[in-house]
Amino acid sequence: MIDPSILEILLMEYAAGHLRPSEALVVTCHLALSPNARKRVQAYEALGAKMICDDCGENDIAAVSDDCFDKIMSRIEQPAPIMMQVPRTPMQQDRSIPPAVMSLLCGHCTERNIRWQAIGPGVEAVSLHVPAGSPCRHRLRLMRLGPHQQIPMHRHGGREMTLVLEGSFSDHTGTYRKGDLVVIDDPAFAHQPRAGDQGCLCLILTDAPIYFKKVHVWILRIFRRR
Amino acid sequence: MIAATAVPLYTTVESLAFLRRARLQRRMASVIPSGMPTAPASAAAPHEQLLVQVGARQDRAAFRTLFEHYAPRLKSYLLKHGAGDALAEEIVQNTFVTIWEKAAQFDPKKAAASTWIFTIARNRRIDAIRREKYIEIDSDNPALERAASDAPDDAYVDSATAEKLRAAIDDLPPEQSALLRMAFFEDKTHQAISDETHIPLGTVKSRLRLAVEKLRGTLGKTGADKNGKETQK
Repeated sequence: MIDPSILEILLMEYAAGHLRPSEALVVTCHLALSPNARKRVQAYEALGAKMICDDCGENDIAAVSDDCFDKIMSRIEQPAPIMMQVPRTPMQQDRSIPPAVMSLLCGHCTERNIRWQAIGPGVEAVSLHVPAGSPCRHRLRLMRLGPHQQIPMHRHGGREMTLVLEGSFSDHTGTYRKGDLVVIDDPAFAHQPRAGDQGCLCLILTDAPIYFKKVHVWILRIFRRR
Repeated sequence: MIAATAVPLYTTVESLAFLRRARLQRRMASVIPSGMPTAPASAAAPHEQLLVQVGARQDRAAFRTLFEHYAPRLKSYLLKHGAGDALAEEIVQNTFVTIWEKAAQFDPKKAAASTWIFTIARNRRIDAIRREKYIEIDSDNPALERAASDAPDDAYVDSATAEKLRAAIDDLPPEQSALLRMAFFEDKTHQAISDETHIPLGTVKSRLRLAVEKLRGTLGKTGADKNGKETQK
């Protein structure tokens, strides 16, 4: 059973600003596809504001220096010269990806285009890179499964986030459709996901290797390091 | 049909805007006589109104009032998140410069002032401490998936929801609420919480899940997901 509270913790961490960029990007893509999740994040932001701004006791507040306000006003009056933005070649559009997600990937990934690579029968993938302030172990990929294509039984060494962008996939815990974000954070959990009739396009973030019960050659190709 | 309704619609929007201005002016009038230069402590302090004034006509007095109220609270938040005094002060300054620059975009129909200010401070904190850009969603992007009846007003999570969540946190067993506060408001990893509290990592995670499960129930009841198209499995 995939525990729904893990997803809730993730939304909360997103609202609190604790996620690393690639995690935040996956959550943001989820928000683009799920109005429900947008509302929950807004609620957690309102809660954060309430705890920090409204409920703060007099003992809890930290005095700012006397000239803080004046410094702000002088910065406002003499705005810093606008940094010339280096024009960036935008990522090439890929029509198979929902537009709201595509625009997020364009805005935050360094790739110029989405170059699908066949990594096995009925499976294509492409790695994406999100700049971060400090190194992180995350690996972000788009993966596309053909109709009824199955990924063999495997378990996850760390936390895996899978966002369904189009189509659906099923495993023994249920069926997941467009907009669903499945978070697996249990090293003992093993599953054998299978794409639905329309195939499945997913955005997948992992922070540790995946272990297959039976190792096939093509699997090694899928999950080799870049 | 469309052309015929276009003019009356336009005038309706105009007059609505006028009514809103008039209402805002009335509210201001009711605030100014009691006009203390510092923020009134009452919950009715119309911070939303002050932000609108800053956005509409660079109102420095309104900006100052917001500063007096929020700056020390934000500084305290930043100190708790591991910023040193000088850095916390710098982030407070960055936050208020951004508030000034973006105030015209603030829409009181979409967010409470405190929530809007919190999100700016959060983003400036990530900028300054992690040197990363906070990845956000543009809620005005027309490409976003909408719920069937996702009227603009539905998108506004009112402070009553935050109040209910807050009450739900207060109702949690102390060992759960303490962990939740550490995880959410102090930017601590589950491992760091485990090290600090000497509670095994597995227990930290399971308590957090229990706590979050209760909050999730609260959000469901407040109607925050009444238009949601899916329930997570």
